[in-house]
Amino acid sequence: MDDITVVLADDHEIWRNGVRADLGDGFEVVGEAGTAEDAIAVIRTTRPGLVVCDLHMPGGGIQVVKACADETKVVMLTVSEAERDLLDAVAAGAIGYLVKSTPPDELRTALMRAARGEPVFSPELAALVLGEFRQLAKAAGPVQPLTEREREVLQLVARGHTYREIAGQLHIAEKTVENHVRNILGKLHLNRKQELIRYALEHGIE
Amino acid sequence: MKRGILQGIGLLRWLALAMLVVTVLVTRHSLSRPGLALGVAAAALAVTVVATWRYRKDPLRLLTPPTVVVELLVGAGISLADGWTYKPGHAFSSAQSLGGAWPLAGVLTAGVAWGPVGGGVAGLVIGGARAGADFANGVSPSHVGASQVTSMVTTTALYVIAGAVVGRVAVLLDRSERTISAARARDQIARTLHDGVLQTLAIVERGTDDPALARLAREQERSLREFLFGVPDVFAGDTVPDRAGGQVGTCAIAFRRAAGRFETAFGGKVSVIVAGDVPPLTPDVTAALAGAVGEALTNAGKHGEARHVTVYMEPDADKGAFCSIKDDGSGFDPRDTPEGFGITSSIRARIAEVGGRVEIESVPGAGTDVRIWVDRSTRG
Repeated sequence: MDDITVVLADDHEIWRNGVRADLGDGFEVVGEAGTAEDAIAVIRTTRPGLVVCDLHMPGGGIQVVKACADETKVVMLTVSEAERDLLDAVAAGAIGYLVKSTPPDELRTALMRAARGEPVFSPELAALVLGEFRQLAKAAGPVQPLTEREREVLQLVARGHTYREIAGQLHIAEKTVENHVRNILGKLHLNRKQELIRYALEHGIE
Repeated sequence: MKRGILQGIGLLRWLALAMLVVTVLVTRHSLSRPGLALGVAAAALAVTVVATWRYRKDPLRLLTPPTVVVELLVGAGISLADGWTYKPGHAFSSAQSLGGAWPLAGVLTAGVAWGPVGGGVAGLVIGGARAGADFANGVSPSHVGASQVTSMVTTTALYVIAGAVVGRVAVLLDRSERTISAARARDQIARTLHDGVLQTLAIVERGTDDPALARLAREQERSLREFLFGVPDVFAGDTVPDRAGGQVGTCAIAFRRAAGRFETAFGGKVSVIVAGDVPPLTPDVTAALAGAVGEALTNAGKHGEARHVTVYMEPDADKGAFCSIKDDGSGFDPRDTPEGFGITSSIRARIAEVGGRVEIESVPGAGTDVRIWVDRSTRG
């Protein structure tokens, strides 16, 4: 199998060096950037299979997601565990998010999966998304609620179960678990969009 | 925010002054000493103008002890003057008199400056001056009936209450103002440290080959996070509620402490994830949960040799909380493992004591999953 081409976007060079060293075989770093603007330019020219992007880099990691999520897979890396802009990043189309303290072997596995298009959903992110849907359920207005099964899957992810374990517990295929997670992301995306549209209508913005 | 109250009092001063002038005009036929009445009006005008001028320069200067005392004394003087301004018998006649409203401004200012007790005492001074005026107006103590006494006591009580209430409000406002500015300072520090120090610690943790240094970095990161996101506030000496406004912080802190102990003792990693909207729990329930999580972690490390444990907590059925502790250790068969039985029974006992429910699932080779449901309050 060909190496996965990667662009690393983070304003700390030492961090990029660390991640590059951790990636090892199977990955080829084709570009690096220290700002969102540079990252977008580098991604446009190198067309990587995967972008590993810091959430808090100058210019904002979210800008990178917004600009490039359609062309490539973007994984957010951050030191924070419970932040609003993380949800925004995922809602904007990031395929996943990992905390920077993720051990190297876990990081490699997660990035491999992300490059294949599987959502990388850490327990922290699952917990945030669950909280978001609880909020949405309380607020009035048209929302796409989670199905009971989706909620169940998401809660198991938040509690630290792997997709394989979840598949075993719910007696479903691992692919089905992945599909559930993908659908959850889709609903999150959609709800965010509806929220924006509703806000715009209510405030007379066209 | 104190400035807001002072601004209100400033407005009151002018309105009361206007009322005083109107009162002089309306009651001019009952005046025995019109000159004194004009003097009173002039004194009130002078203090009002000076107070307004001082407010423009720096509102807080209105709260220095000499300023408050002067305003209060002038107020008391105005109240007392009623006894001589009017013809005898004016008191208790339910007609307006000069010293009614304007002295209130002094009482309120004293409340803002000195708190509820100071405000109450100031109210007592003005109320006392009014009672003095009533006596001077020709009511000799022997002629004072029950209705007069009631009227004097009620008036005095109203002044005292006004001073005390404003004092209390000022104290509360002061406190919330301090809390807010402390929270702001914390936010700013958090933002600064977040991308700097936390980032560096993460780099050290990842980049080093020395396990001791990596552990040190992780411990430092943990204590920094604890400091930044939900610990008793070191700036105001108060506890600032965390984002959810509840005491989720205490559960999260207790879990993180237990996680720290696990990592130091067994070298694995614990992820602590507490949802922001967990309802506030009673201290009993929090303590029971913290104890149960600690036991579950000890079990995971000691008997399960777990490398990674996830502690998760979320609100449950809008009246309680759900918590799970899941490890990737060796697991045990609850039916024939004595230590597993010991630990599980101790977790169950703690949670049962606060009316909660526990499920423990452990499969040899596939780790252990402890699930706990608790209500917000204890059973009793």
